[in-house]
Amino acid sequence: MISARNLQIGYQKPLGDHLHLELNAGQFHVILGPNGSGKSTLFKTLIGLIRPMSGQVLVNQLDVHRLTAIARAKTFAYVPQSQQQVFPYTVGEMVLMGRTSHIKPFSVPSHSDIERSDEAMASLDILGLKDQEFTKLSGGQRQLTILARALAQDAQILVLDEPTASLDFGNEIRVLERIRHLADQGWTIILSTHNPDHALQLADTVTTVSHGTVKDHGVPHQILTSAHLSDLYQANVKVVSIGQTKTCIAAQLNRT
Amino acid sequence: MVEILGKTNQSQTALSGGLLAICLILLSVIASGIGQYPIDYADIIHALLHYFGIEEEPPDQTIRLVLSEVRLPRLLASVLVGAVLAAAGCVFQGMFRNPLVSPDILGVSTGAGLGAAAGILLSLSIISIQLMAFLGGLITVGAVYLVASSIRQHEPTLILVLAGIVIGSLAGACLSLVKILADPYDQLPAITFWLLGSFAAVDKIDLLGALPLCILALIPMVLLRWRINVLSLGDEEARALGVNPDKIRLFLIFAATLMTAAGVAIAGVIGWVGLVVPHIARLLVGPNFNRLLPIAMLIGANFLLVVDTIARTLTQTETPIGILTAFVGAPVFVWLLFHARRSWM
Repeated sequence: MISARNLQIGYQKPLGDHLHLELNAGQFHVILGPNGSGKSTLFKTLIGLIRPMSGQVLVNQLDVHRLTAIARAKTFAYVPQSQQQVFPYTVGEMVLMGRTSHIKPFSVPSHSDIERSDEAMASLDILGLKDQEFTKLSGGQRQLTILARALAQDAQILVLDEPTASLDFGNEIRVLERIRHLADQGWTIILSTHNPDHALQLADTVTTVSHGTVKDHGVPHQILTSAHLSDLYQANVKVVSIGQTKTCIAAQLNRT
Repeated sequence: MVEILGKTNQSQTALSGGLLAICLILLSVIASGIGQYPIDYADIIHALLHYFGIEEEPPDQTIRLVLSEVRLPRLLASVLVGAVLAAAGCVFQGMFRNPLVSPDILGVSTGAGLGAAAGILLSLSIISIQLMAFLGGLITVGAVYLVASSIRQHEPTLILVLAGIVIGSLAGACLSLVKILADPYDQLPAITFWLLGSFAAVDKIDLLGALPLCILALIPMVLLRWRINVLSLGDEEARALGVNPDKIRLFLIFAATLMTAAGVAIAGVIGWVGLVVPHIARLLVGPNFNRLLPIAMLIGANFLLVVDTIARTLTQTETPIGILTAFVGAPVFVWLLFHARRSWM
């Protein structure tokens, strides 16, 4: 579905070497890397928000940087990292904005748009928050609102940039459960994170990123070894199994 | 107040709009009776009914002249300028994602003032002065935007306001230069009085000159009302939601500047309306531009109508309106800041 060829990412100068990447439809893809590794840049380049330094990204055989804004919005529903909103739109209005690519430039949302955004809120159990102000919500509720907005967008691919970055442990679990549930329903999902557990526990494929290029790509259980992760994060970490789950822990972080 | 009124309800907006419209009509009738030549309200209504062909008997000639040549053009001008300054304020705040900007803080008003003062200095015609005001405003807002967007590593809200202050003072310095060059007996009083804002000299021709420009500038704001909401989320999100922000934003800033300049060209520099009125409107009906724009325009129209009536009746001589809007606007804004807490109303 998405294929990157000879891609070099960066803002003003290239961050790293040329990279190749293929992401298939109907799967849960995680892009994993430490802070400053260039994963956000890669991520935004893949969905056409940043121009590549060289090479190209194809989505459904089309160059992602030649798509119109509306065509791009119908392909990717993007959940950005931080949500610092200035104006106190209600949750309902925020979710309704997800319908913009289906609304003509000089028009306002129709009844079917409102129904679709209500459905999206209901599927994430936040319909009760509809009339609340977005700016007054907790971090977890905000993230679910933006997730509902992405669902209301009716795009082909759901793209999440560190969706749990500013959430506490409980909210993180709740948001991830929702995302896992969406993947089970057949959504194609691309999620970026710096937490290897997300990849180990949720993903169909993982792409590790360092120094602005792809380090490895494959099935999480195969490539996310203790050695690979220790190298990726430049820290001594260990992948352990607890029952069915695998998790990543700090190898020597113990009180003595 | 916010909690009691509720924000999202559609009928709430209709109610606010209806009340504000009735208020505007009542205030207009009251204001047209007040002045150096007081007119009885019965006579005003009589004159209006005659004008619309309902009443056969023509009104008193003096009353007719005072109303049609002096008071109504001035009254309509204050309503128009109040509405467009509020609309421009809403657009600037949304486009810059910044509740602290307004035509005056971004330097648009000062820039337009500079352009118009230069026009007066060169003894240009009224249409050329309007054009100069528009160019001055556009150049200033362009310069502010350029300076602010080239400094990226700081808080963008703060930088934009600071850039506005810097460019605004530069335009202010150029204005002082124009004043020094101006003829002290003829041009200078005109420039000074005009910089403080006044509807005293407004006639029918001014009004008819400014009206088409204001309507023209309002069209994109009404048509793009949903897209404006999306743009106020920021560039990256707008792009991800399917709106290409660059062109629409420039176009809307251009329209808001045109509006402001048309207002400045007939009434001079009137501060605070574009800053304070959008906040009050947001407090009433929330930030959705669909509802915000009409309500803000009605509030702005009511506000400037009242303030101008005070300006022409408070003392024997005319009080410049910019002084009064500052006296009202500054405390109201402080009150708003106290009640804003973290979210911007």
